Amino acid sequence: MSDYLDPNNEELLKDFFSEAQGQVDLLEQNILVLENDPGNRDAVDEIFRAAHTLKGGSSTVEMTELAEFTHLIEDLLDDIRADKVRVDGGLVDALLAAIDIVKEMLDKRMAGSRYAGDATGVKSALSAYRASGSSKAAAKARQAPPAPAARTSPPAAEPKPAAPKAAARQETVSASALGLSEYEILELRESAAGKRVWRVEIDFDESNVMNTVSAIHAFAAMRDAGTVLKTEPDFEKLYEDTFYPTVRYFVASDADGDELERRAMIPDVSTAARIVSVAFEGVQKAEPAPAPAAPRSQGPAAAPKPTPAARPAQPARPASPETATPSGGVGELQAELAKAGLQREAADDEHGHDARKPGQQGGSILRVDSRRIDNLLNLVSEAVINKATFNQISSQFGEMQNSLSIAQSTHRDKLKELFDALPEYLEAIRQGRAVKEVKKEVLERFGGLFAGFDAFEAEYKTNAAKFRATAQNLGRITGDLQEGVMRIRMVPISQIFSRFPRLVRDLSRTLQKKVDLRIEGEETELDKSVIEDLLDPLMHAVRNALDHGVETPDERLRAGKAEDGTVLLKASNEGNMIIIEIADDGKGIDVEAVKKKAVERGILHPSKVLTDNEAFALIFEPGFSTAKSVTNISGRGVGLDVVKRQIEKLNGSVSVSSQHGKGTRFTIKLPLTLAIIQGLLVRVGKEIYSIPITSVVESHRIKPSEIRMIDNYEVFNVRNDVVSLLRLDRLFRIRTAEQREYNFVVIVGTSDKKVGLMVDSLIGEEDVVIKPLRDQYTNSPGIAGASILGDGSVCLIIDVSQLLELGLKRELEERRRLEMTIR
Amino acid sequence: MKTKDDFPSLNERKPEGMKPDGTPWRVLIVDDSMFVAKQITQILTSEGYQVVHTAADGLEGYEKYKELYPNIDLVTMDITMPRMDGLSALQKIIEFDKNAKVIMISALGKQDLVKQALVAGAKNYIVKPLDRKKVLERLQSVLGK
Repeated sequence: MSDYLDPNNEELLKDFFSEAQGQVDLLEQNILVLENDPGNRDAVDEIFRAAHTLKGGSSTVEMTELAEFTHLIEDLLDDIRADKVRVDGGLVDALLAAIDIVKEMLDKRMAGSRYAGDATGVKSALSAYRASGSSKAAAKARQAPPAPAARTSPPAAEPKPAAPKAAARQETVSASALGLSEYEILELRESAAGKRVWRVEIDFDESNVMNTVSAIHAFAAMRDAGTVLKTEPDFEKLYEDTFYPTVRYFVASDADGDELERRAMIPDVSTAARIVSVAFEGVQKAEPAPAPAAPRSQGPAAAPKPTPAARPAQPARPASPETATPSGGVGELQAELAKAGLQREAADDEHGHDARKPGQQGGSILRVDSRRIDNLLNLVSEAVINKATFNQISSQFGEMQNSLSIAQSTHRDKLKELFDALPEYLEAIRQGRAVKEVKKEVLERFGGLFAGFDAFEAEYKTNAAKFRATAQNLGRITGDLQEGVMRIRMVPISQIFSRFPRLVRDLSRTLQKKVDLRIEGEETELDKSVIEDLLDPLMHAVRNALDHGVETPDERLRAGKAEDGTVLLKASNEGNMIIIEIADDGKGIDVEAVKKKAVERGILHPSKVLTDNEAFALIFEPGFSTAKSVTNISGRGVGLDVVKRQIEKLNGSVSVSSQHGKGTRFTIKLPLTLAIIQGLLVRVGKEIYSIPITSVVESHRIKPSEIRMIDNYEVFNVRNDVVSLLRLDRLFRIRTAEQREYNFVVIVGTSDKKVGLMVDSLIGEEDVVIKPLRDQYTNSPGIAGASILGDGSVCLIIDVSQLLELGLKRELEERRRLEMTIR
Repeated sequence: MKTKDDFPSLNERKPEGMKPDGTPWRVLIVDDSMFVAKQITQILTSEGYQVVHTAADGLEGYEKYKELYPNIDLVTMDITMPRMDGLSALQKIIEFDKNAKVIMISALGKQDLVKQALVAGAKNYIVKPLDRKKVLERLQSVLGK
């Protein structure tokens, strides 16, 4: 649907988008710099340049709306540069709002459509600043509702021309007017996956004997009609044993308002239901919807068709700090459900996934420093030379073979001659010839036998040495090549770190906390595929630090700390691992509160004694939240659980340490790349398996007599711990002689979950290249991939986390079966 | 204990237990207490419902549901039962037929279990001690949908 549809220019467009994104990031970063240091000329210049490049680019690719809009920004920046306009908070807000619109425009274009939202508010704000350049104008602009307000709380009541006419019982209300925060709106929008979103407010009958069940009852009814995105109060609270007279449900559903009302009215349970359709201003999904207003007009059939006039009425889209940020609205709620031990249909799951890919298209573009490519080319040429040397050696080996056979045959002839001659000489000796004379003659005739292979030996020695040297060279080159190719995929972590200043700024405003974000080690490099999946968990962790870690300024002052909290985001290399730390100097984790909560939630047995570190680890449990009241930012108690899961998916680990009152530090350890891992090779029967070394805790050699049975499970003692055993041969159904003198056990897992894998023998450590398995094998549980060993045979790579789950599941099944039979 | 209330005059109104087409709704009762099962049976049959089977525990209820399906319209499910509790049976039934209409029967004080059941897909619940009016009302609200 793009105006610029020249198939030959796909490349150009791609370049434009990737460059534009870079410019937008640059803009944002420098505006934030400007906020802290209004006099920074370099930042202004940088902003100006970026806006200018963006403008030029967008007019080249004929994206007029973008060009016009950036032109406005540029004008304003020009004035700033000429000192006609003074930089203040309002101006920064207006600029950021403008950039959000630019982002939105780009996203729309990338998805093949056009920005349909209304930017007039922001536009007028921009020109208001420009108009006189005096602070008076700035003040005026700040009062003008749409502009600066558009950032934090979008215009509540941009009147909709369509609304007043529709004398509907179920009116439409903009999401922001419902008092939702940006994050909530973003979450709702993304998890709705294109469906209409309704807010259903239900009053419950208190006289019902089980009135505390009512909210869940209505939840179930709503879920039948669609997907419940969010509840107020939160789902977790509804689950507690309290009666809420009124609960609001945000439901994404194809059903109309009447249908929802019918479902909401449960006799004896609910007394009234008010249904409101929620509109996200200016935010249609990328689908080629011809009717942008349709989703929020009343009933699909009864709705007046959206007129063009209805379009500009959509107020500017509320600035979402991270447009591309997938949010886990549905996911979170699901996690809570899962916690309740219940399942949801897979369909809901799919919505979540859909929502996770806003505007992504095609293969991603990777920018690589040309020196890296040069380096690779260099290595390749070396490899070519190396190959030539091998060719040469091989032909020399051919020649050697020839000379060997020649030498052999002369040797043989000579020997034969010797044997033939021997009787003659014996005869001669018997006839009285002097032995000495005979000896001399023999030596003369056959002395050559000793030296027959000398030439060959010399040739062989030179060639063997040459071969060895070349093979060594080859090893070096392939090693370098491997590293070089890997380095191509390496991108600096600043790619995602750079998004945090804005995030922290917005969040700290929402939370009314003062936070200073420090970023260190942003040049640390990581595999691109890892980086892409890292943003989410990092964001969760940072949100968590801001929300639960850093205190409000008052609390900080009372605690004798500086008013501004500090959040540190730091990346560093450690051997083959990357360490990312998220540290705050906030209130730290209250160990007692954590334990208490864990006991309450049934995660922890009351009588269990825990070290502090073990207690900290509890916060990663699903469904855990110590915050007294749940906030919209990080507090559904699922955030950290998600962080842990996502990091583990990347073969990494998360740990947390904290000092009460001093702060909290999250440490994420990640492998540099996912493509090559260090594996411990083990043998089971005739098969060889590779266990990722990162998940190997230790290995043992035990006698069968050391294996004990507890509760029908094989276990054995490791120091003070009891570890259950999983026999790989039984798990993978491999025949092997189980009776032997010693068994080898590899203990895998993390600190809290361990299992011993029993194998036939340990082979050793080796770098293994992971080759993904094709579809038909991917379902094999416990297998992450395959690799080819030096001798050409295939070894399967064990997926430890799956194996742990598998073991657990089997255990549970067994237990269930057992219980059934007992009864 | 049968009271006059349990035998309303059929002439005054159409019995609730009939589908629009005149055939009765078919109900499976799953309850380990014979007393409660009987009570429900009486309430239901008095309104014209057809109680097709009474199962004494969750497992039997689940097996019976599978056997009867699709000739079954509604299940009343006690929560606490031997062998397989109501919640597990509910989950099994929903797994088998996700449109199954299951109404939980719960004693007071089992709020958390009722919540779990509702989230798992139960359509409604009835609180013991059973009240005739409430039972019928909740059944109707489920069947009406």
